[in-house]
Formats: sequence, C-alpha cells, structure tokens
Amino acid sequence: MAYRGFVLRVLKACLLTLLFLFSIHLSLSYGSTGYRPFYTLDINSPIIELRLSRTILAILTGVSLAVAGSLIQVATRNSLASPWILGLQSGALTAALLTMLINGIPTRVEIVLSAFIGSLTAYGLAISIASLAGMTALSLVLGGIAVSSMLAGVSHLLIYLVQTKLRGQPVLILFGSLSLPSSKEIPLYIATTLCGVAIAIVMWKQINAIVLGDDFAIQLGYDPRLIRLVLSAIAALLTAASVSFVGIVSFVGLIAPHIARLIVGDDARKHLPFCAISGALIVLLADVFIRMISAHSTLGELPLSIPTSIVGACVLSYLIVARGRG
Amino acid sequence: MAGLSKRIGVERGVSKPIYIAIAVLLIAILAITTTYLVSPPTQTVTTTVTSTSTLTLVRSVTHTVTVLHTLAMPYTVTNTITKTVTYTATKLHTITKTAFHTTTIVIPRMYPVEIVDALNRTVTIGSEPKRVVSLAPSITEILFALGLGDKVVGVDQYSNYPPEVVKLRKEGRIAVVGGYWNPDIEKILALKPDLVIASASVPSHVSIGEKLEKDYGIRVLFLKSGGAVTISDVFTDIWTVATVFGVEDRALELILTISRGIENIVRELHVNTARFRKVMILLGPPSWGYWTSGSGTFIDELITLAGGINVFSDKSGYVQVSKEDIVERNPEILIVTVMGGIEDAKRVYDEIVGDEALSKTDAVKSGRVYILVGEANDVMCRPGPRVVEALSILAQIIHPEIFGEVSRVDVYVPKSVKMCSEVSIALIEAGEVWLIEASY
Repeated sequence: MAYRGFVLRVLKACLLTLLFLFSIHLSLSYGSTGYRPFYTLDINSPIIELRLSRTILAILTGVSLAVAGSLIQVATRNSLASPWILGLQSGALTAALLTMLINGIPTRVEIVLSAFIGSLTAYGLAISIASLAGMTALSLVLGGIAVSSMLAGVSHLLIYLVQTKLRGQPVLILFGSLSLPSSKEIPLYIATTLCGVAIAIVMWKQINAIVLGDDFAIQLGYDPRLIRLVLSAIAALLTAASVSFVGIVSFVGLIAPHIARLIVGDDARKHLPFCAISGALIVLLADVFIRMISAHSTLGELPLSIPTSIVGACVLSYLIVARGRG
Repeated sequence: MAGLSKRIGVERGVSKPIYIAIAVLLIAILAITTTYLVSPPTQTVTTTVTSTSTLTLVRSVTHTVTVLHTLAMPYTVTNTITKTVTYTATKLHTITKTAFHTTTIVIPRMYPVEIVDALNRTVTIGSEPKRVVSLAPSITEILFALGLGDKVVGVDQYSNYPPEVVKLRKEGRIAVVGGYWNPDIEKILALKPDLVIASASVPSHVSIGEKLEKDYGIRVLFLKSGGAVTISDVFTDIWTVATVFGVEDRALELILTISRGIENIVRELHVNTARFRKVMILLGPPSWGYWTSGSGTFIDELITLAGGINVFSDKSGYVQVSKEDIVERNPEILIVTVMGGIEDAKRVYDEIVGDEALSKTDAVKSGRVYILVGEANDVMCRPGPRVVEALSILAQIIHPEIFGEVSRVDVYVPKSVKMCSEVSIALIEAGEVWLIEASY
C-alpha cells in the first residue's frame, strides 16, 4: 500500500515537472511575433533575451502569488482566502501609488517596501472587520471584499492622479502584465520571492501545526498568534513583490493552493513546493495565451488577469459549491 | 512817334511771328518747368529684382488661368488677366496690384452650393457661412490659411495655430468648444454657428454632427482631417472648405505652394539617389505602450515621401506593437512624437534608453533618436496646410546628409548624435572621409 502510494506520488511529481518544463518550452517559443521554437533562434538574438526574462517573470509571479495564497489560507484557516480576495493586492498597489504621489519617482526597493506595508495594513483591516463580526469564514471573505473594493477605489483615484508618472499603462497595472518590468529588475524580484518562499519552507513544522489546529500548535510549544502574524507577513511580502513588479494578477493565489492540496495534500513539505510549481504553471500558460493573442492583434498587450480570472472564477465557483455540499 | 510807330509797325509786320514764337517758347518753357515741378518726369527706374518678381507673378497668374479653364469657369476672367499682362510692360506698380486684384475678384460664389463631404453626404450651403466652428486643429489651420479666420467663432482645445488663433482665444473672440475627442454640444450651440466643420475620423464628431443637423438644424461639414491618409486628402479638405466660402483661387494658390514644397524635397531625394532608411515612429512615450502608425496613416505617407521606410508598414492604421516586433524590425531611426516641452523630451529619451526592447535597436544604439515636441509634434499629427514643414523635418531627420542636420528647438536630438555628426562634418571638410569609413 505504501509502495503504491510512493509510485503514485512519483508519477504525479514527474507529470507536474514534465508539464512545467513543457510550459517553459512554450513560453520560450511563443512570442508576439509568432511561434518559433527557441532552439531555432539565434542565441545572440535579443528576442531570446526578451522571452527568457518574460518566462522568469512568469515563474516568479506564479510562485510568489501561489505561496502567498497558501500561507494566507493557512493563517486564516479559510480555503476561500487569497491575497486578491482579502485586499492584500489592492492594498499593496494603493501604498505603492501613494509613494509615487508623495515621492515623485521612487526606486523599486521603496515601492516594494511601501507595497509590503500597504498589503499588511489591508490584511489587518480585513482581519479586524472579520473579528468584529465574529471571525466566521463568511465574515472574513465579506470583510476582505469590502476592504479590497475600498482600496481598489482609492488606487484608481491615485492612478488618475499620478498617470503622468506611471511607467506602463494603467490598465496593465490594474490587471497585471509581465511586460511592465524590465529585465534589469529581475534580481530584486528573485531576491524577494526567494526570501519569502525560503522562510515559508523553513517554517514547515509550524505551518503543519497550525493546519492541524491551534491546540495542537500550543501543545507543540508554538505560539499560534505569532505564527499567524509571521505567515501573513510573508504572504504580504510576496504579494507586495508581485504587485509592485507586474501589477494585480487575480485568482492565481486562490487556485494554486487548491490544486496542490488536491495532488499532495496538506503537508507543508510537499504542499508548498507543489503550490509554487502549480502557480508558476498557471501564470506561464496564461502568459503564453496572452502572447498568442497579441501575435494576432494590433491592440497591444492583453492584461494577465484576463485568462487567470476567467479560469479562476470557474474554479472559485466549483470550490463554493463543493464547500456548500461538503 | 509816328515814325517810331511806323517803324514798330514795320517791325511788327516783320517780327510778329518772332514774338509769337518767343511767346510760345516762353509758354512752353513755363509749361515744361511747371509740369516738371508739379509732377516729376516719368523716370521708370526698374531694378532687376522687381522685374523678376513681376515675372513670377505673371507666371502664377497664367497658372491660375489654365486651372480655371479646367474647372469650366467663365471666360471673362482670362480677359482681365491678359489685360494685366499687357500692363506689365508699362508700369510695374499697376501689375502687382491688378494681379492681386484679379485673384480676389474671381466670380462671386453663387449660393446655394452643393458639396459632397468626407462622409459622402451631399451638404447644401444656403448662404455664405458667417459663424464657423472648427472641431479639429487641422481644420482651424485650413480655415486660417485660406484667410477665413474672421469667420471662425469656435475651435477645439488643441487648435493653436496660427498664433492668431491663440491670440483670439485669449481675447475671447474665439471660444473653445471642448477637446478634440469630446467636443461639447452645448458649447457649440451657445455660439450659434451656421456651419460646424468636423472630422469624419472621430466617432464623437460624427455623432454630435448628426445631433446638430437633425435636432438643431445646424449645417455640419465633415472633412477627412485626422483621417487623411495621403497629401491629396489634405488637398481635398482644403478644396472642400474653399468651395463653401467661394475662395477657390486662394485654395489653388495654397495647394500649388504645398505641392511645390513637396516636389522640391522629393526632387532633392531623387537627384541625390538617397537610400531608403528604416524608420519607426513611436507615438507617445514607451510607457504608454508602443503605439506606432502603420500603413494607411498620414505619417506613413510622410515617411515614404521623405525617403524612409516605415518598419511597421505591413500593419494598418494606428497600432500597438510588442517588444519582440520592435527588436525584430530593428529600425535605424526612431522618431518619437511627444506632447509637451523639451524637458518632457529629455525624460522620454531617458525612458527610451532604459527600455528593454527599444534599447536593443540600431536606432538607439547609434543614438539616432529624434523626439518631436511642441510644434514639430503638431505638424506631424495634423494633416493640414503645414504638411511641407512636417515633411522637411522628416527629410532632415532621415537624410541629414542631403538636407542638413535638423536644428529646431522642438526636436530633441540626444547629444551624442550631434557631436558625432559634427565630428564627421569636420572630417569631411578636412578631406579625411576614409577615417569614418575605417571606424565603421
């Protein structure tokens, strides 16, 4: 029985890895100038450079949002929670735009830091609204929606105010796009994401304890409130990184943890890496889709949130139905 | 006494004619001196300069005659002009005057006129419009270029040429009726215009025009304006406006001047057998998205005329392109049109240098980036009477070796290029051209 489970797990892992490699291949071969396999391109061609940086950005975005989503779901014990629904993303964007409004032309590090503070504040707001309402699963989601809508409104106002200073079109910032950052900024993005993911993986014991319940965590000698705080801070950092580089990409943080949970279950040691890979997969495939569209359109770049939210909303409705029944 | 008298009488008999002759002589001298004093002698001092100027004038008049013939205008016009030509020999001042005179009289317009506008509608103009509203900067420019500025009562927000418009706007004699993309119908109605000239390529103009005509009975004339694709579209616009006001003669003169200007540039390119260079037009800073104009746009036509190839001519209309597209087409020259002043241009240049895709093109690598702001930007985007100016800017940018380096306050050229070209000019002058070739 154990043997069979092992084979199954290996098979699943192989399959996911293969799919991951395949989507990287697609991402390198599909461009807005059409399909040309990357190995047929000249290695010195700047096109390869563009596609490579875009692929790295897609992976980073997927990983950071997926891990952030997973951590948020653990911290709130709510499978409907995600950085997008709880307003972390709009909070991050609002804070980043506010810095832009006050500071003029801030550096990327400043933007990431302010976005971090913003998303943490938004999360705090959502949690406090929920705890005022009795901290039920529903109140958390509703409170989060209230906070995220409010901050979305504020961020739209701020976008209107700083529109001349923005690097990138407002629509792409509001709905996310991998064309926004330049390849020079990738190191900072990698550093932030790696930092967040590494801390999360190091904390696997605490995460597992929390998943099993607060009492269990206390028995093991952990302070559940402290763990929650640290987890949500990491989630906020990862969200802030993704928002300040590629804008708001919705639903990735919600679907990826669920896919990982379906495949490998709740154990953080397997869950977090799988979650990261599936997040990366989603964003990679969504971006390939976008580039396929822009190869045939003259209207410019399609925002990244469009494919992710179309697919993500279907998954969300499935989750709601499954939750209601089970 | 008697003897004396007789003698005088005798003398009289002899000298009477002499006296008469003397008197006549005196009178003649007096008359001549007085006429000389009253009016100076008819000394026709003609310098060579004036004579040449008259020559050109006469030629341009004959031009008019031939074209008028093709338009089946009454023969009387030609008569007046031949008269003036005969005057040419006698007095210089009269010719110049009559020459202008004949151009102004040309047949008073008979109203009503029926005109087919850019939307293919037949517009009937009952009487000469006295209060005109223009909804596009290029339309305003056409109206003023045809000398109809006194009839304009309202313009759009971006109409800023000729400088007269700005002055009249400040004085409040011309009202602003809203933006180019969103004119305000209430502001237009408040001006009580009898003709609104709009652009057929702007959707809001078409919908507002329909409302104005159906609900308020105000005549609306659509021109191609912003939707103009070729130079002849611009000419059509000029001609349409001229027929409404009966100033075809001025329109002809304007069209002739424009076409001569274009001809000069094209001829120069042809004579020098210029190589076509790959040009990319970027509309606005790259952070707004890489907007460019493909074929079927006015700028594309101008680039082709100025001896360039638009790298995106396979796309049509105003399109957004991707980073990969730009890197692959690899333009030699990048022309950016930006709203604002020269400081904005510097900022945009920094942005372009830092841009992932643009910085990989030959244009940016070799520093051949030209950022057009202010008036240079305006002429590039407005298919109006200033098309020659736009064309000459482009010709200078694309072929500085023929037309000279562009030096306008509203065209930002990064320093490195200027220095480079100065060095190369110095080298050419020193006869050390081989050095440049060697360095390449």
